[in-house]
Amino acid sequence: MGKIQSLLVALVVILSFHSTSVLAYKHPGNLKIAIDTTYPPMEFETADGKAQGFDVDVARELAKRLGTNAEFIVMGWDGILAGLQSGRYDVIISSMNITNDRKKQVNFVEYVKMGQVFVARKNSAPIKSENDLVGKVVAVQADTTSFEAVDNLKKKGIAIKDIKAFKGATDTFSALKAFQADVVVVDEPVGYYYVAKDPKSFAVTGVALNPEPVGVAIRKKDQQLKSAIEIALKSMQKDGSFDKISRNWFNTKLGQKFK
Amino acid sequence: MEEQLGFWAFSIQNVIPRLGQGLVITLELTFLSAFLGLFLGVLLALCRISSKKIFSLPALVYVTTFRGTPLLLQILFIYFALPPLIQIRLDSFPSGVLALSLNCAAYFAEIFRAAIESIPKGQMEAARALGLSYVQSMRKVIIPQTYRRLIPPIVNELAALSKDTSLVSVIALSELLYVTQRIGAKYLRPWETYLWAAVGYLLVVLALTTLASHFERQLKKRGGV
Amino acid sequence: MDTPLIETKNLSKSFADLQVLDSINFSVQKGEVVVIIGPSGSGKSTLLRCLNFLEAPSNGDVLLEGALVGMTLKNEVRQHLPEKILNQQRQKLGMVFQHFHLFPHLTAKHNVSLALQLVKKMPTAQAYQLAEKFLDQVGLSDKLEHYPQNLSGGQQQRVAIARALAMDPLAILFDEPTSALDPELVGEVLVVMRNLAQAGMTMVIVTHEMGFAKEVAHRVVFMDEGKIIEQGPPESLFNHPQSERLKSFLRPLS
Repeated sequence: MGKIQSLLVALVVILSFHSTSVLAYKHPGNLKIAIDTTYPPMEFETADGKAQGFDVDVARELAKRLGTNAEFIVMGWDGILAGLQSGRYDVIISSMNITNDRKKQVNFVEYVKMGQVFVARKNSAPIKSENDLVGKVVAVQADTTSFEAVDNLKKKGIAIKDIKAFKGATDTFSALKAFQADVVVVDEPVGYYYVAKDPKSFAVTGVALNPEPVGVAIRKKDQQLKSAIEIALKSMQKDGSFDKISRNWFNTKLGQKFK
Repeated sequence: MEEQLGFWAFSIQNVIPRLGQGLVITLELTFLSAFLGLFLGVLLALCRISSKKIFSLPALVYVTTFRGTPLLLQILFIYFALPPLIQIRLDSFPSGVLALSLNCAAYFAEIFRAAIESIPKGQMEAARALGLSYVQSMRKVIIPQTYRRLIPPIVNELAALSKDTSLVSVIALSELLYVTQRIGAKYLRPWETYLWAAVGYLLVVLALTTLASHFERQLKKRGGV
Repeated sequence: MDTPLIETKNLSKSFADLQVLDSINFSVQKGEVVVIIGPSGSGKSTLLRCLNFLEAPSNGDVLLEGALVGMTLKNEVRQHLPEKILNQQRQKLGMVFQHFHLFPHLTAKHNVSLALQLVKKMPTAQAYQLAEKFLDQVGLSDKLEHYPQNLSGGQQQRVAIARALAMDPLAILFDEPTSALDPELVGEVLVVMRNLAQAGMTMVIVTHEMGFAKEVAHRVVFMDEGKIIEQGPPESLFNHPQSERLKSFLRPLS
């Protein structure tokens, strides 16, 4: 063969090897996905305990593209990372913000950006910005970026009365309704979900945090899985299936600034 | 980037001080609730053994309710359900103390009642035959005889109480278990985190049982029953 | 005839369906020693316990020094007396139980002095003095600081007698005082009881000790199935029983 021909063959071989290596990535068994189901509409459970939500639909589609089925494992948020490290499941797809601290322990594949909002009681003083937090009791889910954000505000000098960090996100709304807190800081879609569900009690009153990246968490050693997920997500975004899931769950596009 | 600390360095730097703070709250919860619960328990026990239905019936309902429903449910009820209902809002610590006190009072009531009823009937008869009133008989004859036999079941209940305090973590109170979970989620080093938490709870129970043995020995020395 | 010290009129007592006492008319004069005998289930103990209202009668009256015990007549309606007054009445009748019922958490001295302090409101020093006196009278002056568990059965019963005596009662009721004692300990208790009788104490004694009854009793009462069958001085009752039931009761004892 001539030099150009050998180069072409080599190129084809390399390219096909690359694509076959992804297509050849066969995930052993089901794709086990951890979710903290206290987070509607991202991940929550039906009355008979079946997983549902935006993240759940994304995960199901992802598993399909990896040639397998999705299997969901419900975990409390405070133990969800530890569970991944100890091998209980393969990935976390549970609206986990990508932070530097977390990146030290696991790898991420970003799939969406989300901002956080203030949710207050309908008929009480609206919380529009961080300055309105003075003298208020803030409820957040424990071990989340919501908690850290509010904690940092407190450290910065904003005289927040108290920060109550609960195990599940649902508890923060129970606390708000029960007058145990004045405002909840939570991811946008969750805030809007609760307001839509109980408009007499709750209202979104302001933006707490601008959109930040959210990703699939994967163990550092699972490099092949990470690559496979990256490719699968790209294809989902390209062929519109990601947007379809978005529109199914949200009226607005996620990650937009509050008007 | 911080490197991995060894067992002792990590424990002393990141775990033990914070757990210590949580332990203080746990101790406060335990002793405050025990004190209130014992006091209420005595009152309930006397109502339970009363011959007057207006005392014994409500006491029976109380004891049945608080022993028959999960403590966790009682905590959640007081913290989340009461404020919209009766316009009284208790913060996490008072809610926890209230739930724990009301709950253990029910158990103490039954412990006291059983102890009082275990005193032979003849004791009350002898006291009444001498002309002592019911109250005098209870105070000077019956109840003093219950002290020694009360210690084991009360210590048992106190040990259970000290661990039940961990349930108050669900209403965001920074007692020992809550702090343990926060550290666990942050550092992903379960071995050190959970080990020292267990040590913390063990210390509480050890303190209680030591106190109890001390009391038992004191009572033995005084002689009599 | 003098008013009897203790008297019952048509006294009846039932427990659920079981009638234990059937219209008992019974009286005790001051200074009398009355011994009640009879088979078990005859109602002897129940009669005794009605006298100081440890059992409330179902029907009929109990009188102490002519006054109703435990009840009062208000506008011709019988009502229970308030506890305070009943307690005062009970002070006047001492009781000694088959199983002693000493207070185990108190010393012998305190067992005797407790009621003096609480009921008679005596100052402590005086109560202790009196306790020592009565414990001496029953022969236990060396056991003042002993707890009941360190005393023999006979000693415990003697403390119980001292405890009853200390209240200066009008009469003492004895409910089978020696039935729970080992045979060799019975004697010391009977000695104390005999001394009391000889000193003129009014006593009502339920017992199986026939020898004691013969020696010390002024009158013996035979009960069976809730009724008084026969009564009289010991010689006539034991040596010349009239009723068939008394005869068959005494037969195994002769």
